[in-house]
Amino acid sequence: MRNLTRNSMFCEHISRVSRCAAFTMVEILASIAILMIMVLIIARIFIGLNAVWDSGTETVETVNTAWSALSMMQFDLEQAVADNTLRFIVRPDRQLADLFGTHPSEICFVSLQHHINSTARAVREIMYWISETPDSPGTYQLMRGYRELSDGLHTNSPENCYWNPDWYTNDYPVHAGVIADNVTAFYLSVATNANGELLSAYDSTLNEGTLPCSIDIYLELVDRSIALKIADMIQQTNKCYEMIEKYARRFNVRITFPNRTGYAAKYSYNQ
Amino acid sequence: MNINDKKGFSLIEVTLALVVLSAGVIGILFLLNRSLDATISSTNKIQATVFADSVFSTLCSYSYEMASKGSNEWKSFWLNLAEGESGIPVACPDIWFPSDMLIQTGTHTLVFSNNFVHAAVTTNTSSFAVRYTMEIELVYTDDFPYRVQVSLKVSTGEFEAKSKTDEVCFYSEYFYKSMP
Repeated sequence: MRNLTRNSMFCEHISRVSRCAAFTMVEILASIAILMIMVLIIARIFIGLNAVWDSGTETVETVNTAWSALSMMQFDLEQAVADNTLRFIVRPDRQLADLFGTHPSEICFVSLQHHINSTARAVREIMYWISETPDSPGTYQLMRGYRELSDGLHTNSPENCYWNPDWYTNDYPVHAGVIADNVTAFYLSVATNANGELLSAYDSTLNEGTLPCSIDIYLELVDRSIALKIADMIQQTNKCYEMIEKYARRFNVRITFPNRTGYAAKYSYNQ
Repeated sequence: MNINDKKGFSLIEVTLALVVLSAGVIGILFLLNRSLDATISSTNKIQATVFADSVFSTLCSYSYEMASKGSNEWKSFWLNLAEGESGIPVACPDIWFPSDMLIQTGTHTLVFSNNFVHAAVTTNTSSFAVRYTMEIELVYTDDFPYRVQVSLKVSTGEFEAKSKTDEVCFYSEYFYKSMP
């Protein structure tokens, strides 16, 4: 009798357990499948968003790079001086003849801006030029180099700009830094009067030892990822150029030379 | 076991779950949209600043040159420019199409389209556009405009700025025979 009672209680327990609500295997598989699909969709969205974010960040970096490079050039150029020895030169690049179908420019000049601890009358020989990025063939960078010349140095260094108008023919300066990466065009043109013809070459010693009236700077950059793609397809010239035309960011600015301590622009008002 | 005994999510529960999920996704998209707007705005403001820098520098070179020719030339240059009868060229004109674009007083749009830069390839791509308003005021002393005030409002894009925050304002002054 006692065993019978115990058996009936066990059966009742088993029957109660089997009636508990639970997911079937099919339901779980279906929900996992739906979850997987949702995860995949959301992952795709996030990958897409990430790509857009990266692209936006690259664009801002490129534009900021161009802006800072142009600002630095403006700062240097606005303090440029020239006479028959302090030679101001704009000309096609001596070492790089082809930059994606263009001949880039280089500029060499003497600027009064110098380090705050430098002695009086110190100047800088400054150069801007384009060179191939050493660790990334097929991409190019805008370089700025300078030589600092103080009173003490110029007296015993006959090759510098105080004594030698051909100072710019020396090697590029040791103090050189990259001021813009992924450059696809760098072109300078000079005007000897405000509404005159723009020249791609200018030499102050051939122009009465004076600065030009203004200089136009054209700087063209692409984002890093585009620059690498262009470098990979460098053999396919036309495709390469089309890609640059499509994706390059272009900046053009005109810089005027304010008069500086007696070194006047050729057509300035006090001549 | 009766099939009706099975318990599942009610319609309200499912709807609530969807609302929560949608709110999360919309929030993320909204944040991304805001960041993209900030990126575009930053890029545009730099482009506008480069343009304004170039305009002021070009005006500076004209001002110097006209002053070197004499007071009448200087005065007539600024008067003509202020009245919209003349303009100044954009920087690097050969790079753009058309190459004879002028910057004048009033509200105008300039579309900078690519000219031949890389070999002979041209795609007629518009590189960028700026819409600007330039105002010039001559300040007279003894019947001569010794001081010229130039204000420039620039917004990038072909059309008017969507809001005042998209417009960047610049100001410069030019003096006869004196550095600003």
